[in-house]
Amino acid sequence: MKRNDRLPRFRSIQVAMAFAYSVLSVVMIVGAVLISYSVTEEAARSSSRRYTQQLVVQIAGNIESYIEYMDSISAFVQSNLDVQAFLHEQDSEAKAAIAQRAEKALGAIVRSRKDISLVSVFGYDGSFLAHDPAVLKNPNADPTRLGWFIQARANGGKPAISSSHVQNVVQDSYRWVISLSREVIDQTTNKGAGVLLVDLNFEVIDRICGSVSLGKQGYIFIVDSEGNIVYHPRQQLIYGGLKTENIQQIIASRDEYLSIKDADGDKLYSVRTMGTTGWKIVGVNYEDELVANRESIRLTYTAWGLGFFAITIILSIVLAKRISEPLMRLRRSMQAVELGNFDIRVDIQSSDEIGELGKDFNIMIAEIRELIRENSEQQELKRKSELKALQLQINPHFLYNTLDSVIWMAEGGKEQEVITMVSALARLFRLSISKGKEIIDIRSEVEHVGHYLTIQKIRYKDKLDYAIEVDPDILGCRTVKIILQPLVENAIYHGIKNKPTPGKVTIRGSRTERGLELLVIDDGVGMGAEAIALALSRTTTDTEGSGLGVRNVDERIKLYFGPEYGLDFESSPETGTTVRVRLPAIEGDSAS
Amino acid sequence: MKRMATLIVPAILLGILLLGSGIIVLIVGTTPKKREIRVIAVLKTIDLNMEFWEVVKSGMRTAAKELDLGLEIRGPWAESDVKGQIALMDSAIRDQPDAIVLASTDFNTLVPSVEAARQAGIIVVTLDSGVNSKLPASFVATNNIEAGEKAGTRMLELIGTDTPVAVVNHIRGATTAMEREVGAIQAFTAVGMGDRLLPTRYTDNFEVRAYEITRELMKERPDIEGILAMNEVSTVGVARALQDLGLARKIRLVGFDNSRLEIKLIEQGVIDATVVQQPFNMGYLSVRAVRDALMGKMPERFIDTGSLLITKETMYLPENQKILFPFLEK
Repeated sequence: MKRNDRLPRFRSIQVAMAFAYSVLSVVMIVGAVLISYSVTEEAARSSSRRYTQQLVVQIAGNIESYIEYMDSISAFVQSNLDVQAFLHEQDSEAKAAIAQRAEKALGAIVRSRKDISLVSVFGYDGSFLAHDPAVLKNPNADPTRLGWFIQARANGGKPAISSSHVQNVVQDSYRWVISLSREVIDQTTNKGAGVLLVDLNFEVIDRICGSVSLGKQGYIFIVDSEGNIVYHPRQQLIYGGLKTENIQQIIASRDEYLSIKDADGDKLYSVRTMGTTGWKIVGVNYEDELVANRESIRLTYTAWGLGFFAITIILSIVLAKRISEPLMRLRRSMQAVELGNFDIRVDIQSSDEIGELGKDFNIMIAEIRELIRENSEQQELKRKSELKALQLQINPHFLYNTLDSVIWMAEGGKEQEVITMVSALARLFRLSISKGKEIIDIRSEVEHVGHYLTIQKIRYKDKLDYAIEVDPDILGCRTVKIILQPLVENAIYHGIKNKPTPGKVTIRGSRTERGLELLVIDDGVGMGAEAIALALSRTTTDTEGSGLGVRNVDERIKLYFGPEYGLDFESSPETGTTVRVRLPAIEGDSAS
Repeated sequence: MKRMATLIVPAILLGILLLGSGIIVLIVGTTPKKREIRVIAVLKTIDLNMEFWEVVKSGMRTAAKELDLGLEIRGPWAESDVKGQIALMDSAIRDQPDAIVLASTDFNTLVPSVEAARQAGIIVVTLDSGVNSKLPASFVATNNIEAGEKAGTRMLELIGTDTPVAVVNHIRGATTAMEREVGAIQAFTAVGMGDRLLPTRYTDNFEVRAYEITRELMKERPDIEGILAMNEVSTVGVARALQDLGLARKIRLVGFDNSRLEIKLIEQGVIDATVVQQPFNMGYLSVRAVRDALMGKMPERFIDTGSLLITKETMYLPENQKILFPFLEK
């Protein structure tokens, strides 16, 4: 009890196996899930890094193409004959006429392009030309003091690209633009004659960079080679000192990736430097956002893990059950066999080792059963032949006494009695033989006992009286032979012989509910329980017996008809003994 | 005994299952999803033409995105609609956000609304214009005294030592008006020129009034050398009057704010200098104050978003352009 309490789980193979499988698979699943999770996360991280890098390259390319476009406009303006003429012309009237043609030429460039907000030429003589006659020079702004103008002059014919700024050179317009400016060289004098200006609407760049999404917090910004912000979504915060951006580090570094930790957290900078402008396009990723769908990856893996667990555990149980169940059945069958039931068969369908075991078990049980059957048959046969042998024995005492009586009677001249006795003896023996058959009809059996009683009557004279009252309609029924004679013999030798007064043996026979009943009743001294037990245990006859003991009678009846049939004794010293013979009611052929 | 065993087996398997799940969850670590913090901003106006408030909104949105908060911006159409704003506060409180950012249209009338919000456990941060209550966790605004001082100091640099300076202010009793004036007076008294300031004139926030006041002033005191105009409307009205009187560039004008018109007037030299607020920072810092308050990190009671003095020379400096021209023109 105590042991069971302590270790119930290892009591059955099923539990032990389910346990082992579960532990093993849980360990493996946990390992597998964790490894693949970290692989997936690393893959996601590097792919989002790659994505940012591609994005930055793409944006750089995009902006580059705008700059190139502005450059090609500037080249066109620079070489345009009308513009050249406009700058060259000194006479103001002629200049006005040329201005109109030049304006048209500039207008043609801008007309289809919304992203170019201004194309204009500023002559060193103060003249002004724009793509649209409606565009007027801001009288309050002196172009020569503006950065792009100064830069263009300094570059001497090469284009200068400004950072993002508000263009105030045009009246009533304060657009955010990127300016490409360039000194126009007068082709006749080969000297600088003015500065041309191409403004790209900054909205273009704002749109390109602003529409980019790099996680929830990531962003793109652009700085020029000096470290001035061209575009930054948090420009105001940086100028206001509320935020810092690691611009100096980025300017100083030549790497494509920078990992910087600051107040906002760990950030990964992907940098691309543009060839034409020297601007750096910077993609900023927050490290903790690099794995964009971390949550869903985690959820997926957790769900997979749990799903696998459930499957594994169910499988473990099923598998363990499948292996142990037939074993349990086999065990139960064996227990039944232990208890003596050999009619059992184990039903195991599987074709594996346990199925084989079951089949072998069945074969073994069948063989054992066959052996037992053969054994008991042999035993029975042996017994029957033993009994037969006994029954064929003639008790020499009985024969000697009878013949002695015959001699005395012959000497006494009792001729009639001698005849009766000898003929009875002869018939007795003849019936005993009964053609070697073991089963005879009751008529013959009653006849047989009748002959016996005849002989005994002659011997005991008045001391013995008898009566045979067998129901005639059971006379045809079957019985084992020589069952009444030993009982009568028993009644005479143990009941009547010891009685001082004459005694009577009565034989009755009738049909009962369960078969037939033959009664051998004597009114002798009666038998004690010991005597009954003794009578029933005796296998051989005593000196005066006819050869068969009472026990043999009982045994033979049981042997031939089954254990429910046999003898019963009822005895008391006052009334004598009644032996009840219970037999099945087997109707014989009327011929025999 | 048997029944116990049959119960123990599933229990053990369940235990293993839970253990395994526990390990996975622990290491893969699905962090519990953060509840979204909801912030409602009730501004003075949601009129899209009010550039100042548009910039405030953009600052708020930038902060909300960065700090991962849910932000909803509401407000009456007109700044003068105090009742409308009270109604909006009521509905905002009913919506039970975590915090409300309020740009109060009135110093006193909105106090009950703020009290109701606090009662409902909602954190209140005031923006630009405060309320007469200690309940708000923080007040995020321009330090107007300092701004007035900047204007006064600049004016002192522009004028001679013995000339009077007029002050044109918007609304008598309005906090901004009072504070800016106080700042200017401080600047003058600091150098012992407090008596140079003429009594303040109020425009009631009408440009026409500013225009008229200027003309009257010029008539009454032709010796005036400088005018301090304390808000945009006043500044533009004064500038127009000076232009019409042919006194532009002769009379020094230091104003406030940075409307497109004012920019042009600065370029023209009519306005010598203007003090600008930083509405983007205001919006940004108000949302950050909300986040701090929600995280139990008490923000300062007053957060100064700063002001800048802009002149013709400094207006196109890279760091000032974004403040003067916050939006892209299409």
